Amino acid sequence: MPRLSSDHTRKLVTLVALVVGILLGIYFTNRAVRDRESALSQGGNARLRSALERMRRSPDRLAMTMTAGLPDERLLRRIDVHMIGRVDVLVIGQSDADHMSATFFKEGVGFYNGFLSSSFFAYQYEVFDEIARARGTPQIVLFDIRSGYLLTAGDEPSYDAPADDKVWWAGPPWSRGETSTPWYRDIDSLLSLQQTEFTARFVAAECERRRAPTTADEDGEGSAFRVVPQGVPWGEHRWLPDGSRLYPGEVEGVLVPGAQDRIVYSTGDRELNAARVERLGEYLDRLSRAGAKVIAYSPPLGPRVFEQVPPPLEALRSMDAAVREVIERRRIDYCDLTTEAAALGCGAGDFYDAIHLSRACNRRVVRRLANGCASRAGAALRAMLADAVLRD
Amino acid sequence: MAFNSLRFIFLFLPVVMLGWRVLPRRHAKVFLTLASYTFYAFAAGWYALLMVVSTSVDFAVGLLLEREMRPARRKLILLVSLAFNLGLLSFFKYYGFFIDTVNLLAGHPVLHRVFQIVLPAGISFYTFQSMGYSIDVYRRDLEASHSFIEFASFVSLFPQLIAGPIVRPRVLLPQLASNEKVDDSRVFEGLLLFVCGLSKKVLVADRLAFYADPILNAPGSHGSVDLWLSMVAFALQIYFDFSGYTDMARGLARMLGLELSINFDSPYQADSPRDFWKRWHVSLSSWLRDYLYIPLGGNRKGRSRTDFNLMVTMLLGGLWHGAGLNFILWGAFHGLLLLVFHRTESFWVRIPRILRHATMLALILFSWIPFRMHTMTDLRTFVVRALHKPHLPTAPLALWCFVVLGIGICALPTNSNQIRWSGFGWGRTIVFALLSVLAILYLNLSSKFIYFAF
Repeated sequence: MPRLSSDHTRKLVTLVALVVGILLGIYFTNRAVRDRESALSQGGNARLRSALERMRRSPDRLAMTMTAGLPDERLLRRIDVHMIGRVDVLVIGQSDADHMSATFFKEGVGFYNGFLSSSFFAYQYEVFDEIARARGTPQIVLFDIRSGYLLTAGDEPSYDAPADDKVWWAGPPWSRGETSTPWYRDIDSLLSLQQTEFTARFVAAECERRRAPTTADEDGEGSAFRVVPQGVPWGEHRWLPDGSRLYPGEVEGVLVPGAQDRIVYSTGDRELNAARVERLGEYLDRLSRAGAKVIAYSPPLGPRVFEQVPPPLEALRSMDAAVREVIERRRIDYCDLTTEAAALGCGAGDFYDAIHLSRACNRRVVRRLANGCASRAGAALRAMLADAVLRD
Repeated sequence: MAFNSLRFIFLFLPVVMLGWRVLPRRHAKVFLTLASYTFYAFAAGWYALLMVVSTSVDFAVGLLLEREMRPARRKLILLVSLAFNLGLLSFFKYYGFFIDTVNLLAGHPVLHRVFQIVLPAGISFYTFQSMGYSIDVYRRDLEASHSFIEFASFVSLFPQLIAGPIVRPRVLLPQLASNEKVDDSRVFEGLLLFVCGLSKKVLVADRLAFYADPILNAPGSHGSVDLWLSMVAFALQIYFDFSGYTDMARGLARMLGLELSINFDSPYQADSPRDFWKRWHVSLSSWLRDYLYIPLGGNRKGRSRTDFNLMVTMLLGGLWHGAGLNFILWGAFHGLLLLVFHRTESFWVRIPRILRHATMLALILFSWIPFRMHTMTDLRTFVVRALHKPHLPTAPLALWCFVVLGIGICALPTNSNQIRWSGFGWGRTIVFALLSVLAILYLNLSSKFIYFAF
């Protein structure tokens, strides 16, 4: 092999060695911390667990702050499963469902909102599966399914995929703004380097999570998992004991001042991912086989969506029709409320942005599901709803 | 397998570098050609066979042109090459566009698509490169290649195969024919240039796209400030994306001991339309100049004919990018700019440079609108909304930051062509190592190169 001149040889070797060395360091650190059990284990998340325990001591008064987003929310659900009681009604789906509340139901009805922001069906089913294993199968599952989450920009992972499947770990690409060429389709030899959550940033976050609770944490300071009052506005996202969420600045019944328009129904992608639609079918089958009555619904979109030029109505209708076909083929209720905001009485003030709706609007959604829209399981739902909800 | 993938960086590149350096030169050329075809097969699958056919046709045409002395026969042979290459390009690139346009003009479906065609990656680049060879041999500017392997390596050379630069045969063929071993320092220089390009792509272009795409994909949902900001971001993105690719291509070639032509020379520092085209996608603009504009008569046949030649060249340049009205509009806009510039050059040069520069920036920005908006509906929506009265911006702060960063880099007095890579000291070497790590860690968020679509 020809010799490099000595100065360039040294620099070249240094450059390559530094790059390879740093990458290998990160790679092996990732390998050490990333397995499914260590990341999601009870013991590995002491601070989160401590905050949840504290919140549950006064469930009507306290809430827990946390960064909104799939990684932390998955941990929360995983740990919550062992703290909540029996669950009669379970909500699963995306963050659209985050304001579905236990207050809609009669006293004594076990309710849990297991929504997960920007999640695949696999993650959503995981919430159901773990609750079913730990607490028994919920009687009713309200399944938030928006066709817009079934676009080509993400391949649905298999629930039975091994723990180091990087799709399973990395989360859906749309949450990172990616379009139709998901990176994870590439098979490469350094899987974990490809994962946002499992690179240096993840290591730092993981170390932070694993630190033992401190006095400051108990006092509600200096932690990502602080316990704060429900009834006063707060500058961070807050999770309530029923699994639902309050936005920064929000208290019950009062919308966030200066509601953000950041999230709009803006993807240019209008093609459904056929494989994901099929996977949806598989998860519906699993839910039914487990004995749950499933009511699938697509929540209303905010009026601003339809002010777009051109309005996405036609695309939405054709996507919704495809989703409806998969659901109804299984004789499962499907209520498509995408364009029903006005009919439900949800005005512009009921939407935080294009897709996230207020608790009041969610209450009307649930009433609609119970009162005829869900022809098969509606009656069972109606029997559990609070009288006030049915009367409104 | 793109340059911005782990498989390329950690597997393909080391294997090719090793083979190229350890094998005897004769075998190394075969190895390089096979490696280039492997690289292409990852991008284009079975279309690699199409490149074999294209290469064989132009190789044979070159040999025939060299032997044939009769002008009429030589012209006929050249026409075979042109018809084959342009036919190939037209079929794969413009078949659907042609049918859609006919149906649009007729107002109802007159023609139906018989074939569902996927554009083979890099076809626009390698057909131009291959066609340039036939024309050069026809003009007797170049001797025909007698080595099929060297010629196949010229057409398929993996660093520049998918998105250029479009290298002239007289530049590259002699380098491939040479049996010189790679100069020691060039491996180091090439690696640094590659890292520079990778960083441009992953750390700047892709970050800009990450924040700007959601806005540009839904122009009807955003206010004018956000739209203009995002269009500036796109102008920066396309520059960093494409010039990043070029730097990587040139860096890779340099690591193999080959020198490719430059493609960008701080284009956003241009102070006239002509200056811009001497700095932007130079290999394409010079190809169009030498093989289209000048043969059409260039500026030698009077003012009106010059205008016509310019417009035809720029329209075809636009159409080269893709079969769409938006690209035709983009080409026509630049053709018009050049035309107006030619007519007003004496006035233009009297304007203070800073004003010329600012005007050019505004015009270039405007030209990117049809390029980025893929449908006429989106284009119309963008223009209507962008000209609406400004409203409070909602674009994320990160987009503003990356735009400022991009503008800052574009304004630097030195670009990657001018950096003396071999003079890098230890400090800069370590900085580049850290930059490499950062770029590699962000590969998971990296997307395809924009010019792969062309």
